[in-house]
Amino acid sequence: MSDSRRPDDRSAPVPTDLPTAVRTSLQAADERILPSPDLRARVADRITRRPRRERRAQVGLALATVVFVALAVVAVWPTADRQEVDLAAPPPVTPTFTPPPTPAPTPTPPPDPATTPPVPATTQPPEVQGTLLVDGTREPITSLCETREGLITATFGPTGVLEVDRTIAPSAPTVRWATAAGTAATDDVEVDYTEDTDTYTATFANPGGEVPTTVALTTNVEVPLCTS
Amino acid sequence: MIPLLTAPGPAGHTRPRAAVATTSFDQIWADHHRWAVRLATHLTGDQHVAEDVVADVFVRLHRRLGRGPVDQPRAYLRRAIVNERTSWLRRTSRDLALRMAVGRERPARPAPTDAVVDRDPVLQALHRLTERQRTVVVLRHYEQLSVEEVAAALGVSHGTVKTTTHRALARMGDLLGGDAR
Repeated sequence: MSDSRRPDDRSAPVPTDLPTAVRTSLQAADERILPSPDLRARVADRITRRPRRERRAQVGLALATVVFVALAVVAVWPTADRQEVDLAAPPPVTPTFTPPPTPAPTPTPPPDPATTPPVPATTQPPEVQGTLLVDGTREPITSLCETREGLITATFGPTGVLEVDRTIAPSAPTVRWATAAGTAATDDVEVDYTEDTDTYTATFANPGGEVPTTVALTTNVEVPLCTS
Repeated sequence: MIPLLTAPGPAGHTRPRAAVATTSFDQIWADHHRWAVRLATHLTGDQHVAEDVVADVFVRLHRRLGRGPVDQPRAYLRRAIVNERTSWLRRTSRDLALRMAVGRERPARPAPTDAVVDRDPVLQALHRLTERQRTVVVLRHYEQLSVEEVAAALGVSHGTVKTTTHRALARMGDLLGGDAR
């Protein structure tokens, strides 16, 4: 056995009852573990920081919406205006000028199959990979992608959406689950992450007939980045 | 003394439930924060990391209390600590991969706090187990939870808990036995 595997205290006897020895050792160590005096202040700071950050995000979203609407109006307005003018204007005068006859167009030779590059096949969208279990029943995923900030969105069925959001608190992802049958807000969900299988398991606090008890999303492949 | 923490709620709007939640948070903090730091320290092997984990867990608890009381605060905190510790591990491994990708020096893995592990060979052996093994041993033999309770806290089957416990103790026995030889 290598030295790296050995505890440093080589004179200690081997405990015969390991569970009891573990408990005794950890309880003895407890007396030396004293929380930092500022721990509660740090918790209070994090609690007050979170709403501020969420408010900033809401303001940013509102501004982005206003800008988007303004751009949309600017883009659409000239077209509508032009159509109105066209309707109100008198019919255009047809010019009497007769153009000279144009020579018949030279027929285009058919492409030489030997030199014509093959037409590339239509690009297929990447196959959606991942597993979604709703109360243990597999639900086909229709799309799955992740933003650079860490928001994983999986859609399933005609209207189902499952979002695993790590954008605000990377260490504490939240989940939004919604289908035509029911929804579950972020606050109704506890999220567990299993690193071995890369599985997010959302357990809903108040399951009912419309909201499942557990939803497990396994993304054991590299999730593609969302394009928009 | 820091100001009394308040439960989340609409700005400028006082809800009757907020007062209950505020009292509950303070009570839960007073009753459980030392235990939470100790449990997290045993799970992570580092008290600084443990306090970060506990802080995040209590922030989540505070949000949760805004929607109503928690029936079993210790069970809620225990599960949240285990989950948060897992997230911390994932975050740490991701940071490590990023640092390696940009060619920076590999950061040292957080070592068990000397003050905690000290020279106790049992604790040294415990901290040489895998994360999953250490978690199961701590929950089973320090928290003295039943197999069913550990399975519920970790979201795994009873069989997994039993197998992991058996392998963990066998590994610790090997480590301590090797030490004696």
